Amino acid sequence: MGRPARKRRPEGRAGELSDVSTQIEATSPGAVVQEFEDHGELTVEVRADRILEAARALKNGPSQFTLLSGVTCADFPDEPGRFRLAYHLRSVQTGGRVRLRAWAGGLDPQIDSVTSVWPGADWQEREVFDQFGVRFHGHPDLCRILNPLDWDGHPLRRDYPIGGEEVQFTDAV
Amino acid sequence: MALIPPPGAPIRRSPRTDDAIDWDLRDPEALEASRGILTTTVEKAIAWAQTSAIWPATFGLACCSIEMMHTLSPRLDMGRFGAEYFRGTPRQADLMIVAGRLTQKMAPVVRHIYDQMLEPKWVISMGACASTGGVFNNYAVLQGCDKVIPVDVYVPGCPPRPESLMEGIDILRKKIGANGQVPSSELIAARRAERAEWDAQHASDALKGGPAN
Amino acid sequence: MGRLDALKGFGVTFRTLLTKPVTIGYPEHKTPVYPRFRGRHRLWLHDDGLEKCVGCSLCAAACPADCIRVVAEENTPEHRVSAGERYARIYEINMARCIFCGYCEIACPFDAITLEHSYELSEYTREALIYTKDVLLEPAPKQPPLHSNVPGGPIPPGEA
Repeated sequence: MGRPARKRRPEGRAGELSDVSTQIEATSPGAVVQEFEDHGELTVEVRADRILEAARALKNGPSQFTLLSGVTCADFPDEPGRFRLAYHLRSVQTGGRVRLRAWAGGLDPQIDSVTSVWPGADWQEREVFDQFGVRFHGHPDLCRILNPLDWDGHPLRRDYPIGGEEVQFTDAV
Repeated sequence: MALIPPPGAPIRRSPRTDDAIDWDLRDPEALEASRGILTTTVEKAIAWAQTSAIWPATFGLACCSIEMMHTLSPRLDMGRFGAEYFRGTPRQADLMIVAGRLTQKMAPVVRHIYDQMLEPKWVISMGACASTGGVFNNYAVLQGCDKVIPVDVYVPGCPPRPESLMEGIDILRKKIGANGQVPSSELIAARRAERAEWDAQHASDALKGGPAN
Repeated sequence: MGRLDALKGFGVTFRTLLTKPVTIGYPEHKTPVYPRFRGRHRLWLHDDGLEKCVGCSLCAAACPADCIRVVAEENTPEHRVSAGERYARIYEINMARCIFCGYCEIACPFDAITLEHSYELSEYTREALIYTKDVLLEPAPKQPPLHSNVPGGPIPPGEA
């Protein structure tokens, strides 16, 4: 009894995956701000207020992006949107990958939570909230996850100091 | 988590030491006065018993705990020193080997577990991160576990070889008074002063509180 | 046959009782190390007694844990310490912060600092773990032996 040969999952080709933007636009016109492809990876930037519709379109649509690999964030203090969230999606059925981007805004960063679409986003969004302060509407339990619950501030923001203390040496001068 | 008391909770302090039980914290003068030949032999015997069976509490936090586990391996058998018996409950442990990075979130837990240990108790700070925060000089890592608990021996390394940890335990045993050396009254006085000074410095620290049980 | 299986298990145990234990009797026998093992640091001198370290602070710049402090001073003709223009008047390593990565050894252009094999460094206080230049210039008092399968080994401690 031999094992069946491992099938290579087809990598998403550019022609197929720009259907992603088409699918999003179909359900929510005007959601996609831009898309680009770099090194074989497709990134679709959507408006922050349409992220939930885009998520539903991608999960339930033909490309079936049923797996959320992660929700991450980066702080760009010079940009008007400041916090750029990234949702890394993977399709188990077709093998496709896509990255969704959304800008959450600077002064009071907020965005809809996608936990109703992918439950695995729960702790990921808690981490983004803990480290960056982005609030997720509709999240079942938005509280700190890495830092102590009574911590002040959001440590991974660019304006948060690294902390620590001066390394101890002898008093010789 | 329930281990962090809510702000505003009354701080109930467990009695830290009791001179009647902690023979090494009695007044050095009283100790000298009570010292006769028989008592010295008894103290030597007590020191021998304490150093020959020093049971650690399991407190491996991060990578250093792997090397701590290696000291239990057959190659470097810590059972030869009686320290193989890692206790799951701090109430039955003598030694706390803080092995790994201590984060700000874990600090009250360390203090809580240290408070649950019965006297006499000792602490070995194993590795760079437990001693001083090591290479993680940032907001999340406590820069040395001696900010919340008093430490007896520091073992540097990243991670320290298991032999380094065993040497640390060896010099701790010398400090306790192994090999028949009764700790001198200077050492007892120094230990008492060190405890008092540490208590005074951290008297207002909310971390020191905790349920009395 | 359940009972015979149990006896086979016991047989393994009893046979192991008769084999030589692999325990290294630690304090009496030090564990041998390989030549590139990174232990305690050592500052080196030239053969004529001048220090190799010129206080350039490349080691301090390379250190990920920022645990080296170097304060340089000019060599004067009356007081010449190193073989270059400057020497390290203050050279301290906080061994409690050190992660023994060896980046200082890699960064040093003069081979002035190397990591030797000593791994027995425990102390009672944090302050005792801040090694100053005079401590680092001395070879470590207890060096472990090299492995016997190293070509040219075993080298007795202290002669590496």
